[in-house]
Amino acid sequence: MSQPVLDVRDLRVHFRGDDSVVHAVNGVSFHVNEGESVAIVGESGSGKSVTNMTVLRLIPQPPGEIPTGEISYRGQDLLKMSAREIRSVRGGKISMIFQDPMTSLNPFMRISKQLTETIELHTDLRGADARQRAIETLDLVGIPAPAERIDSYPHEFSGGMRQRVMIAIALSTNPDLLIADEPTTALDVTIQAQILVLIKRLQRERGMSLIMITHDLAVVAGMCSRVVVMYGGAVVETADVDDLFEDPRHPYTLALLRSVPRVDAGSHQKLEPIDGLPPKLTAEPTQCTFAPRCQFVQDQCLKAVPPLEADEDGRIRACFLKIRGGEVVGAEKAPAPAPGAKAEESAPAEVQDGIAPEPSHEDAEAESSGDAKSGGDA
Amino acid sequence: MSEPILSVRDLEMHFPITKGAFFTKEIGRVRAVNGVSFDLAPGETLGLVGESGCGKSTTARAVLQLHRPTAGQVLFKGTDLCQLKGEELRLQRGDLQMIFQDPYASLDPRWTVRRIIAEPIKNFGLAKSSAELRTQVHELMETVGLDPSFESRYPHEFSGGQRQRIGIARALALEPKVIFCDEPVSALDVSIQAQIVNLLEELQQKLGLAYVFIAHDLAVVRHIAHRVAIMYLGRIVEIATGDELYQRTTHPYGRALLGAVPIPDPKLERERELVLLEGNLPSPSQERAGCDFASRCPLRPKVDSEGRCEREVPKLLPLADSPGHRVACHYHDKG
Repeated sequence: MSQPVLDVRDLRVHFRGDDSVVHAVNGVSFHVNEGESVAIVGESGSGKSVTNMTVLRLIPQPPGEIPTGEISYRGQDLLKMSAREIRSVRGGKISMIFQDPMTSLNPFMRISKQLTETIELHTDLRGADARQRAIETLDLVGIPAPAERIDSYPHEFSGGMRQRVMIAIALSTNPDLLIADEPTTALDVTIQAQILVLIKRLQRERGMSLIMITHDLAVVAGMCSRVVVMYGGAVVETADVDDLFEDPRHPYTLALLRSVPRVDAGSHQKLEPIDGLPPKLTAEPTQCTFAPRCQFVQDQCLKAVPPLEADEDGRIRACFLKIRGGEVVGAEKAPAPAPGAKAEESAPAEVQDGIAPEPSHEDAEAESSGDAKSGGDA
Repeated sequence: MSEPILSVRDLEMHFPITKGAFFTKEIGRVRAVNGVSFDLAPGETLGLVGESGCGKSTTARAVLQLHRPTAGQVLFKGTDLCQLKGEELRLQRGDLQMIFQDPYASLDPRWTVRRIIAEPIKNFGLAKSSAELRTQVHELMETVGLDPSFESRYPHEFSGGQRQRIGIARALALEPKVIFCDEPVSALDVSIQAQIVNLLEELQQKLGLAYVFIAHDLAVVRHIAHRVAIMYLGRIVEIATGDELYQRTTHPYGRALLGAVPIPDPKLERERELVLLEGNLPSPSQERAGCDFASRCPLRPKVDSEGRCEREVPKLLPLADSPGHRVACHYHDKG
């Protein structure tokens, strides 16, 4: 196997508030190979956006802290780079597309300026040459009459067109890794299909590597070859896309797949919701973060954090139990969920947390600040 | 189908575009809803789907008289709501409720849960004493799966899914017959989304509610709706029972829309053939003759040699072999 383009090792990110610390990312490791498309899947607050913002060093410090971790991009540790060095990578070699095309472009700047700014910063092209490159990139992403539209302002474009402009900005410097953070969540399905086809085509043509951050398993199925599933600030399973959908090995992946309605299923498909709420991460986890919501939970799950390990056949997951075909095998099946897990959503957040019960007032604050800092991956 | 509880006929909702501060002059119209008709049976769920800007939310608001419709009839239990005013209209509203998309914005942050749920009961004088009011609020909270002991908490102390439950309890307070759900699960995470969808289904079975379920997520609509209507630029272009519509989509727009929905299965995804629509939704303020979809239609170049699509607005007509399935396309049998 060739050297990975990006290799993240044991990354931790904390956010320090006035009287609490949110453990947003707790020891995340994953890698992206040359030309590969990797999906990072998880709910709001699972740490998927924070992880990738950290890759580009977009986390403000303070309140953010990175106690441990190594992010190696082609052998260089991005976390050790100076502000000047990281600027040459960010937006140049590694580009990012953000979720919301309505707010990610500067409404006061013409599209031409926003594109040429990036091109002039990262390439040798200047002036008219940079503008020419900008027009070519707009053409590439399918904007009609790019030479005329380039001097428009963002509000003159529709949502799908703005997302194309965002993609054009990201691609204008020929990056070799593209991070797309929920690139189609704000768009209608017909436009989503156009954008996904576009990203796939460009990736193939340029041999670019792709990290696709999303909560939508259906998008993952069509776009990516490998999937990293995150929950509670940690990776709980990583697998090839076919393996993951066919035989999920972590109870969270299993539950997630069962809770998604499918457009090709009959109207009588039964949805199985995941009871309870995601963890709050106001303390270092001391047990499996999914345990309070897990249908298979056992005593050992409440005593330690399961490590991310390979199953006998090489499948990687963080669970004490052996799960095959949606059932626990080889281990004793626990008869009832842990106390607290059954109360479902009816109990307010803090009762459910499963990590560190705190008085409700502080907890509510911690939650809202945590949400704000996780970079809006709702 | 049994006798409809709600019948909407030729509903139009136009918004004028005006110019000038003193002598305002109408310079155009946004035709947000342009002749929508449907029936809703008791205990039925009608899904309303389409891209943003197709008029699905405006239809809901116009039916509920939150916008007064420009033209058309809304018959609820034999009364035309468009003709009612003031107190008469207010009394009908108890039977027609709405659940909103954003559980963060649709609850007053300075009100306790008790006050939010009690407000409609008080407005309609349905509780004789404060003790009775309290019992009713507790019952409602239990119905939607909230612990009544949290009645004095504020919305910010609850998660998104729990807030949506508060919104549902408020909508149920007046024992309505019909609830309009405007994207009730779009703002929620997948694992929570399924909890709310299941709750809505349970409530429907228990209370015999009829829903108009508006969503852009076609997979959720397929799951919950008995019948589905696809809207495009203020008109219904296709309507049928859920299974019929998803298995035998007939309108070219319906096919493109359903074909664009990704399926959470990598093998099927690799085989799936995409019908990509060119361009975006045209603006609803443009004057249009003929079929609204003509400019983007993949079928038209192949079949329309006489230019009929550009001249004549297609009517929503039943299919010969399936009268419940109606399609607005001149050439639906040629695709």
